[in-house]
Amino acid sequence: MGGGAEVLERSVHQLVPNLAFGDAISQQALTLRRILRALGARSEIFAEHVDAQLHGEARPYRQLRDEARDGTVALYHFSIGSEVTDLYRLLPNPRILVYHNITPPEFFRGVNAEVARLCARGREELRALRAHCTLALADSEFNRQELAALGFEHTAVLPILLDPERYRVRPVRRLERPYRDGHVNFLHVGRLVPNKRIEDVLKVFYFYRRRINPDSRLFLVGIDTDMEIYSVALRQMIHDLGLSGVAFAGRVSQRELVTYYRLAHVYLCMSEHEGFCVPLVEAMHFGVPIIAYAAGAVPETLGDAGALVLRKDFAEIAELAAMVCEDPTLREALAARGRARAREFLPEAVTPLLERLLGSV
Amino acid sequence: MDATGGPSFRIAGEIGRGVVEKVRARLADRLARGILDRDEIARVSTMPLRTFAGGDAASEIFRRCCVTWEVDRVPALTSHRPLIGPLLVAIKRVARRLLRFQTEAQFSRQRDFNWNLLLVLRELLERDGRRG
Repeated sequence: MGGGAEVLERSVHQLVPNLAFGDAISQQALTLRRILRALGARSEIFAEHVDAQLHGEARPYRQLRDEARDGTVALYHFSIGSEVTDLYRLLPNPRILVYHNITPPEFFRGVNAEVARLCARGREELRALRAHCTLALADSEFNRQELAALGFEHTAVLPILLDPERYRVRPVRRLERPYRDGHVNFLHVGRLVPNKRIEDVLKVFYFYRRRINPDSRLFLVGIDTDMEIYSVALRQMIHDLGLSGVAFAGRVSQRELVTYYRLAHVYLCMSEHEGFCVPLVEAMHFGVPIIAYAAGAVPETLGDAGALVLRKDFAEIAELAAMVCEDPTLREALAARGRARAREFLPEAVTPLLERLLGSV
Repeated sequence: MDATGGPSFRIAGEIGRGVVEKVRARLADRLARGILDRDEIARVSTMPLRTFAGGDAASEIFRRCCVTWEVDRVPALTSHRPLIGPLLVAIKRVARRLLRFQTEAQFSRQRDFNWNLLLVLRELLERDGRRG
């Protein structure tokens, strides 16, 4: 990990509004802290809210004000409007904004007005932060271009890291046994939020299960906190379609998550707005063939490692899923490409870039 | 099926060659055999998602009702006690399994009732909003 002398002598602290279990941004903060400490830097996470499961992993965010001295690097993970932004503005340079994208508020119309308001506020705050950062990092080129369009001067891409240690856990047998039964398992991982267009995942699965292979099921792994109206709407669509075989897994442990990836035959993503899409990298890591709609940062994250949907023709996508499941050559080729692509997000691939970027501020 | 005839997906490189054609041939065959018809494709593809078409205040009331309708959705079992925690979790898990046997039918009935009530509530709140 050479070339990071500047990093070793510094404190590099991270600021996040929420440190939540299973959340991609929180996981990125934890992985970065581990890497920064391995590089010799003093590194802490400061957060406004901390999940009970991550108790002790972060300090109250207001303490960063006293901690930040000359030369201390503050990384602010930004994805929604919050009180934390006010504190970040008061910190001395060098300050690095890490932009994870903000979902356009329109997606939350008819689902949660408060979340829509926070997203709109986040976009306002983002504009105002142009004058408050030495460097603006984005976890994809898609996000970086948004920053550049808003007038951020110094921008760069630092992708989200895949920490392989987190996935070296035993699968959960009580989950694995009943679902490894010869049925085809579709998988979608991620919060039940409208921008992910899970209704479109349901439509693809409808054509597959109803007209191609009834011995199949769809796992929807992810929580619906604050998105309960959307969650109910999805269940009503399932009811109206007369569709069975859909399992809402909700919040899962890391071992359960790994089990779902191991059970999956195909990963389906119909999202229309993604700043990065961590589940794609996870699916690639596990060699699960991916069918994903080309929106936001999805084509960039996926690279050449999956089937990229250009137009939502649900019956045709279902047929493609069938081919991916039935054709071992196609399936193996996609899995191999996925594994190779996932390696590009491993710490050993990303750390030199992190060191260079930190050395530049 | 696309009226323009353009591919609906892309798989890069050699492995993707011919996949679009094969997928289309499979779908055409299914249509020809009557397993699937274009009306069904159009009906499902255009099916709208029914969220909430009312004001913010009514939406928030409805959202809160949506939180708890699934009475059988139970939180993860945890214990914060350092040493006996895992044992307590194991005991709770066994107890929950035993209780599930006793309560499953009641939960199911309550869940059905709540679901129907939720749909009626949404209709009423939306209608109220439309009246102003």
